[in-house]
Amino acid sequence: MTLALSLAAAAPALRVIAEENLLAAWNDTLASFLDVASPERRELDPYLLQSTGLSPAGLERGLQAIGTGMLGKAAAAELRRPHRQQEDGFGLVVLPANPPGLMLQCLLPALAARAPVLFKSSRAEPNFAPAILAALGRRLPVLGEAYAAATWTGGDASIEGRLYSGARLVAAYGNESTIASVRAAGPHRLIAFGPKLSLGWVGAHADVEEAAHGMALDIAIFDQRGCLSVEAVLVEPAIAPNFAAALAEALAELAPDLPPGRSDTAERAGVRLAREDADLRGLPWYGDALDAGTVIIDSDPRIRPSPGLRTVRIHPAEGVPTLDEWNGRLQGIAIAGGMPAMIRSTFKQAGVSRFAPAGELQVTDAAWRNGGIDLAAEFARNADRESKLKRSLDRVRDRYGDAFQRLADD
Amino acid sequence: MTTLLRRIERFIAAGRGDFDELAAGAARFGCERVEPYRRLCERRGITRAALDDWRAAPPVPTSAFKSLRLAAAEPREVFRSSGTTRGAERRSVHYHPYPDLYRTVIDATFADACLPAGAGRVPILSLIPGRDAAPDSSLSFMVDHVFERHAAPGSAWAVARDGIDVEQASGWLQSHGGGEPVLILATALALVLLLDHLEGPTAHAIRRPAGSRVFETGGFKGQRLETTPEDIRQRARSLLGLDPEAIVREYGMTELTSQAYSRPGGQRLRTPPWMPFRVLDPESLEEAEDGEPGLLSFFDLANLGSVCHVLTEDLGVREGDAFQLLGRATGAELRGCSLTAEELGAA
Repeated sequence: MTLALSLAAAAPALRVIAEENLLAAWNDTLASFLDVASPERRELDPYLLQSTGLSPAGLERGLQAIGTGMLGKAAAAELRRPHRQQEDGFGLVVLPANPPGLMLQCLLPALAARAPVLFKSSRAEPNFAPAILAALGRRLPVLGEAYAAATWTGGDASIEGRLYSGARLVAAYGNESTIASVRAAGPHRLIAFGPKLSLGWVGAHADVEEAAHGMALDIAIFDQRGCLSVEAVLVEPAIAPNFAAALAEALAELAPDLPPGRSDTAERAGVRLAREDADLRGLPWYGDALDAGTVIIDSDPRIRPSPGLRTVRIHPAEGVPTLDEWNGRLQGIAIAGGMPAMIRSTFKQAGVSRFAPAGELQVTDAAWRNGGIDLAAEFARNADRESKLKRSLDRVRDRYGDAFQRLADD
Repeated sequence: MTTLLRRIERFIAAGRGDFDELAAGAARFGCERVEPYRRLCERRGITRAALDDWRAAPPVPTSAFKSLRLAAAEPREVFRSSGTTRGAERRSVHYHPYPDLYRTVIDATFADACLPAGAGRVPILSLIPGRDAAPDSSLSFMVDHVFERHAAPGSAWAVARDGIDVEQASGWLQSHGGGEPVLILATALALVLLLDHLEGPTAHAIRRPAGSRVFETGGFKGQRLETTPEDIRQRARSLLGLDPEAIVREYGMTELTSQAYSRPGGQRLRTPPWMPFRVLDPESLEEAEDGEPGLLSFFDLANLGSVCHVLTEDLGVREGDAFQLLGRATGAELRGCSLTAEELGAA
């Protein structure tokens, strides 16, 4: 808590940083972290490879995908946005174990809002966040006073009780039980980035080879552990068999350049079960070693999460998919061959926040709002002031509500 | 078939017969009678002769019970798993043509595993609903049968519409504080909820007579509870006055007719002679080396009415003639941008 309070105390100094200084520090730091030959990356990579389990090429490709679009003009546009935290106080961001670099999507909006933040790094990946925050602090010391990362075991009430209640905003990534646990701790304001999955869409007019190569990339980056990783592909029925074969080939071709990282028994077992299930149901599937990718043509239109290791189900699909079960739990759609407006609208209504050409789904930029949430605006929002306003309105309604109702009835 | 069924019943009830021979017969029976399984065996070129060794019968993943009708004969009971997750997860359906075989299994295992030595009937408190409340639950079928066989007068169910009736359970335990040992039937979740209640401000210390037992089954069905088996045991000891050997863990599932049990107070699980287990390497589906983690598979003769060879989603490790549960294969759960340290560091 002492650390969080010291971050909060840096808020006034943060508010007066000139935009160009902030942008320069950000660009220089991020560029260094995206350069595999930079001293900062050379120091960090051994730890990051160990903690993430990604292959060196997988780590590099993943960081490029998440970070490149946050440099330069994109970052400048984000930092120029009008949202500013006007009072002191700190935010808290609870990070997941994977994918690395995800914290950039919170850090840039926090910088834009001049909002001090404490990042809670996962015990499994405690390296990236402190490294990049330290690097920022070296370039612009006040940032070192306003942003910090720490690691502790989630659920420790002695640490979290005051932190959650003291934070202006808590943004939490995690599985459903993690989110439930944070919610139960009773933060003032909680933005929950719960688990989500992404899909592919291959329309009738898609170039099958091109679509397969793009989709393979969207499956393989971050070893299918990101919320923008494609886990299932809806395909025009007439081309589904050809697309499945092409995708299996594309995954195999991609593997030497983007080798899979470390896998565990649970993941390998999950893939084995998916293959055995497909066999018993008489479903065609492609695959070699368990971690090299599995493509199953599943006649059941119901979407199921992938067990991982580049396993993907191809669902021959016509028309508007039924997404009731997935409302609020879909993140992105990788598109090949065009998508009818009605179907796009269906996905939007189900909560999809990103549509991108196949091969670019995971390559985000600073303008992407995860889940449609504008974090800079959220960091800047004065919840106390809004609460006072709401309380005033509530009092007016309580006092005069009956009178208004009678007037309306008359 | 009737002959095979009778011979399996005799093997389960009295240990008479040869497992390998019965297993080969049961594997052939399944391949002939269960249509999706027959087609799988055909596709894989598995002949009748190959099934002389039951290990050659392909193990069926439990997920298949969610999408396929796996029935060797007209079912007399239909058991369904409880829904535990949101989304596309469906419930397993086990079509059971031979419920008497299930009763035979319960009679052959439950008393030895769970009742105090020499006990015939004991006062039972069940925190698991009976068949009137959960007619398609295989666990409730079992609990009903246990009541019929082993419940002494005064036994009770403490089950509410949406869970357990902790007040009733607490009252029953108070009133059975002395005299003969009792048996409590509970899921792990129900047991934790009861212990939470007994820890509350209105609770009283309850002492159980020596020799009392707790039958504990299943996990927490998606609930987040910060607890461990050891924690449960310690709390059961302090709040219920149970000795460390009181808790018997049961491992069962809708897709299996037979169960594995721990020794009282133990963690390692043992299967009965008619349901050998194997730990399989996910890559090859060959048996894993001792001490290596893998997928748990069972060949359950009592599954004659569906498929005997079942590949579960559970990970385990062999320890001599028993196994330890390690966790679950990845599957139905959403993970994108949400992996926890525990999930990332799984075995």
